[in-house]
Amino acid sequence: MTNNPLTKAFLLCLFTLSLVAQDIGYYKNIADTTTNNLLKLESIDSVLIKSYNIDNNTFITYSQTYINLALESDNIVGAAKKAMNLQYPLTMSQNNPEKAVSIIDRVLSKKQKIKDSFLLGGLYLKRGAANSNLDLKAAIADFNMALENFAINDSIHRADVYLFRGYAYSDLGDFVDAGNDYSIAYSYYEALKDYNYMLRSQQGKIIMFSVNGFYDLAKKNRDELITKLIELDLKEFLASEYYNQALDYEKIGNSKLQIESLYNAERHLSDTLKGNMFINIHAALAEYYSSNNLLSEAKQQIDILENCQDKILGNHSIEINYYGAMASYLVASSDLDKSLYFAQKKLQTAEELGIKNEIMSSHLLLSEIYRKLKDYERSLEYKDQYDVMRDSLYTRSNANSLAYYQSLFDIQLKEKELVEKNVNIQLLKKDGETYKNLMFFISLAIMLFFSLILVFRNRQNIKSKKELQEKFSQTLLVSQEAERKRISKDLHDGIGQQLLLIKNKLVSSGDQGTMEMIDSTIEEVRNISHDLHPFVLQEFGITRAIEHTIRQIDENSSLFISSEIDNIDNLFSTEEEVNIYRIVQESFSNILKHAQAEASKVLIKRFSKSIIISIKDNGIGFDFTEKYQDKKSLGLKTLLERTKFLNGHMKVISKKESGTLLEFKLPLQ
Amino acid sequence: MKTFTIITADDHPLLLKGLNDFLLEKKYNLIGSGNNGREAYNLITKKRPDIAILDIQMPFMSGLEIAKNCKNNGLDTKIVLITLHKERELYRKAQDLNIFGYILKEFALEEIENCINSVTAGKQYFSPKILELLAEVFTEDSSLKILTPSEKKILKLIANDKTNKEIASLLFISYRTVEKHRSNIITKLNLEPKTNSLLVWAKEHQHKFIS
Repeated sequence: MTNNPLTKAFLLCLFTLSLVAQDIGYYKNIADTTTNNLLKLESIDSVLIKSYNIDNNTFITYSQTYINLALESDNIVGAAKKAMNLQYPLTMSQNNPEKAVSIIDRVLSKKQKIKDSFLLGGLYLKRGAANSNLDLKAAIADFNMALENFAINDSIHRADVYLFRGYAYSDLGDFVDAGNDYSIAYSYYEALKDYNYMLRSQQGKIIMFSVNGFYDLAKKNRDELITKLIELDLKEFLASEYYNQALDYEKIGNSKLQIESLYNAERHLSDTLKGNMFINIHAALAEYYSSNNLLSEAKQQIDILENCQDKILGNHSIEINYYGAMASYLVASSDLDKSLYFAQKKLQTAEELGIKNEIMSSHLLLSEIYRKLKDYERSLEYKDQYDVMRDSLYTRSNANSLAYYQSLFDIQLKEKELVEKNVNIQLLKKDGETYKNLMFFISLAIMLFFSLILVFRNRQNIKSKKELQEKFSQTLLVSQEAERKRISKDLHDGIGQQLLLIKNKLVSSGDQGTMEMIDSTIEEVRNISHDLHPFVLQEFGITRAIEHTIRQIDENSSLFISSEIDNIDNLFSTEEEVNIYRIVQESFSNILKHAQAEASKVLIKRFSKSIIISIKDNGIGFDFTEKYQDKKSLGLKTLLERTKFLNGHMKVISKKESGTLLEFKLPLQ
Repeated sequence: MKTFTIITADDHPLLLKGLNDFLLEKKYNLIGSGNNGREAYNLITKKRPDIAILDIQMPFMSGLEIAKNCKNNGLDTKIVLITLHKERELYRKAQDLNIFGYILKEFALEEIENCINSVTAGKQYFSPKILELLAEVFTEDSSLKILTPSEKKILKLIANDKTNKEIASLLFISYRTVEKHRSNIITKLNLEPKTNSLLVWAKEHQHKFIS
């Protein structure tokens, strides 16, 4: 024996092939006889693989066996997978969704052992699909669970869930939610480039609208779909869309648009594909031509249909259309007996399939044929049936549309509430902001107000302080003057008279030396007294007093004084006169002390409302502010105080090295 | 006993008594004496004395007011003021108010006799100390007394042949001020308003004010 590895490999291949090629019966045998669970499961698995989509009964039976076994041996994942696969055949071929639901229920009771999101979601999806045939609400609940359990990236499954839930909602008459689900499914499929299902979801929506009489909505969505299909270059799907559109137009009774759509559909038919749609379109065309009495065109279409008879017969959904077309054509060509045959065939098939629209149109067709056969009784009978059915459909359609608009309205109401709430929130926010702003401005205003008060009080304070000071300094001036006067008088009347008495005594005793001493003492007292308070002012008036002072200064200094003095006697009170006198006196005192002036000029002018005293010198001048700020220099301040006491104005014009002009303007009462 | 009548008034009783005693001692005909201005004036109006010796500062009425009233009422009593005040203004006033004497109180007792004698003779009497005060006026030409010292300064400069411009610059005053002073002086001295009149006058009286 050649121990050639190539030979070995060949043998291995052969063995494997022989295994695969084993008959299904072989595995059935193993599955039925073995007691080894593992082996049994493996062989059942093989049976299932071989029977899937081929022998539904075997598949269903063995699936159940497998699931039971798997559950017993705690292989939940395996059970789940098989349960999912079992659902469709069980529901569809055996029409036993209850069984499917109960099997999935059993698996789901151990769902905590399933970690895979795909499996869990899938179980719910399949139970939902089964439930769709039993209990739509339960189905929707299942779909919701499926959505919860599928991971985000299980997008194809999520899309399926949405599509199925869309069907469920649609059947429930919840068109708004259905529409939403269809749209979501549509976008999922579009993203996945699964155009077939994309089309299905959109068609689901369109058909939902169309069946329930929302032709406008159906057309709108269909137009969108057509645009999309053209955009995606999926022209093979266009024919069916145009065909469906044509059916809608037929229902509305718009024959012009109906034929247009039919032509469109025919044009977009792929020539090679003589499938269902090909038959449907030509049947529709035949029917259209027949009912419009275009017999030759109708004949052409009928010929096409009859060429495809082998494809048509046995396929109920296209049989209906074929029978309908034949009947219509035969009616049009007055072959009533034959047409009666086809019409009845159509009715029969329609009833088998339970397509209400077709049943209804068959009734109408039969009624018409019997009418032409003059069998009015039967004609009426079918007509009645037609009417009953139409009315019920009409009512349902009305109810549906009511439901649709109701839910649409509810949604809009909710949206409106939401918008209102948003608006309210915005308003509240705005209110809050306004309030904040208001508070800010109020606090600002309060702060401003208080600072204003503070400033005002401060100013008031300063003002009153200043007033107090002025009052004080003026009182000081007045009291100073009074004091001077008192001392002057005391000196004069007291000490002076005492000295006189002493002098008189001495006159009699005749001590000449002492007498002279007394004389000089008296002279001194007199001078001091005079300086303190001029006797002249009191006795001869202000004008004389000023003249007197000027003359004294003129005599006792080198200053050259020119004076022009108007008489200002009896214009002022005694106190005011003293102040005026002092102003002149102190101005000259300043000139003599500081100005180093050679000459000076005094003018006292009397006007009707005021007097002006101007005293000018040609001395060294000074800087007013500097001097005024100098605290030691009292001269200017005193002058100013005296002027204020007289309610007058003082003007000082002085520059360094260019002399000084003091001008006092004193108002008359 | 001297025939002319005298009254006295002073608000200071001791001084009044001293004066009265002195007058009586000197045998003057003292017919009354008042303690204040009102009493003094009443005495004058009632008794019409020849001489009234009055203090200036008295309650109710000062010596000057009495003199004024006397003049206004045509009373010819000759007033002698006896006061501690030494004022040039009083001298001026005296000229206006028919006051015949002006004695400083400290020299009252020494000078009163001279004063009364002078007054009875119809001549004014002023204390020498007052005349000292008015020195120039009495030792020199009386016409100068009405000029101010500044005017006199200008007059001196004029006498020294200074022009107005020179005077202005010397005295640091404006040309116009000098002009004004000149015209004032001319008015006061009652000269003819001619350009040279002041210069001529100043030259003539030069000795009086140039010391």
